[in-house]
Amino acid sequence: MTIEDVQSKDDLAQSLVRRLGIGKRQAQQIIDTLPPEDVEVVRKNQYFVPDKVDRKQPEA
Amino acid sequence: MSVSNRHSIYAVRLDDTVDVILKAIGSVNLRTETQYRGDVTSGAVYREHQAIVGQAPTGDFTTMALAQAIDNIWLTGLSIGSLASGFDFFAYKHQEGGSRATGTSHRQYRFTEGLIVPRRLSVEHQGDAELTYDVLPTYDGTNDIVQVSDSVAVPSVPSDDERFTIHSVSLGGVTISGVKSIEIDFGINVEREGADSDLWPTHASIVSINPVLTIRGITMDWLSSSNIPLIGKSGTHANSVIKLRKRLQTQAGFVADGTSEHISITGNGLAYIDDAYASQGDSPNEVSIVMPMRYDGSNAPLVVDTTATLS
Repeated sequence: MTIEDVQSKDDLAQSLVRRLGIGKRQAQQIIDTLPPEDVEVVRKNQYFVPDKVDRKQPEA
Repeated sequence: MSVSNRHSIYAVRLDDTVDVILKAIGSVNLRTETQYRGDVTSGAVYREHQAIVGQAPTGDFTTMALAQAIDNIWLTGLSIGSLASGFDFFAYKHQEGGSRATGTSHRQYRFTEGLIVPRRLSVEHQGDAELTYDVLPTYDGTNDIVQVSDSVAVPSVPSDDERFTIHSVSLGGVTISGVKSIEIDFGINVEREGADSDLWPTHASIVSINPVLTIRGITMDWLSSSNIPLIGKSGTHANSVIKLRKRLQTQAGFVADGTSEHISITGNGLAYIDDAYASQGDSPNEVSIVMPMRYDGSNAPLVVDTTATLS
């Protein structure tokens, strides 16, 4: 799955699992703390990762 | 004097806003890792001074409920401090003249800060996959690094309905046939730090994560130009996958391939033959493949899906 394939929160959680090496429950907790508009931002951008792990900057 | 207490293992708990009771626990261990010092000085025969100068308690547990465990703790571990109340081992008290004690008669070992990381995943032909986690607590500045309580009630444990075994392995686009065992050493190096001669460490962090996959079997032609050549074979997440199939809970056989309850683990790394020819007596010759994983710039070195289908 790529980030472009993400269609749902569950897809998004699996994408975070893929990129961050975290458990799905952890991924869902991250998503659940985000307001809906941020979930959409995450879905559309590949650069989101939580502070504790790493943070890549969006490409210009 | 007589024996009045006997305890056995129990499920372990992530005591969070919504508790998670990790099930199918096969073993629980906790060592105090105590550094004792008792030097003899000034030519004395007997030591006169003794002290405990450091402790870094270390625990581990194993589970066969892989999907549940992986969904909660995977490659980058779990911060115990991120849980609302902590992480718990329990000692399940037996009832004299009965089976298990009831009510608030059990023992709890609570950790409130530190890391839980996976150490090893292993499965053999016809065996049940087992996942081992290390528990590496630190001192939170207030509570003992391990808080022991008697007189606690144990939580209810979810149904013991998960067992996984080998389905298939493909590395670098090559199907590895006749797999006898799979082992993943997660290669997670956690270091705990303390200072000021404090007894307990106060900081834990993951220094590096370098997983290594080892596959064993008796198919000698794993080493061949069409499989894994002598100089090795690169694999990507797209063409290197380990699949574990879920057993049915109450009968022989497996959950249907198309049901999303199996586990797939993909990796990016360099596979090479380790044991090309290992023999002993009349036993079949053994071969092994080792595949250290790497970060490909995008995905974690091992990517897991606990809702995979099989094909």
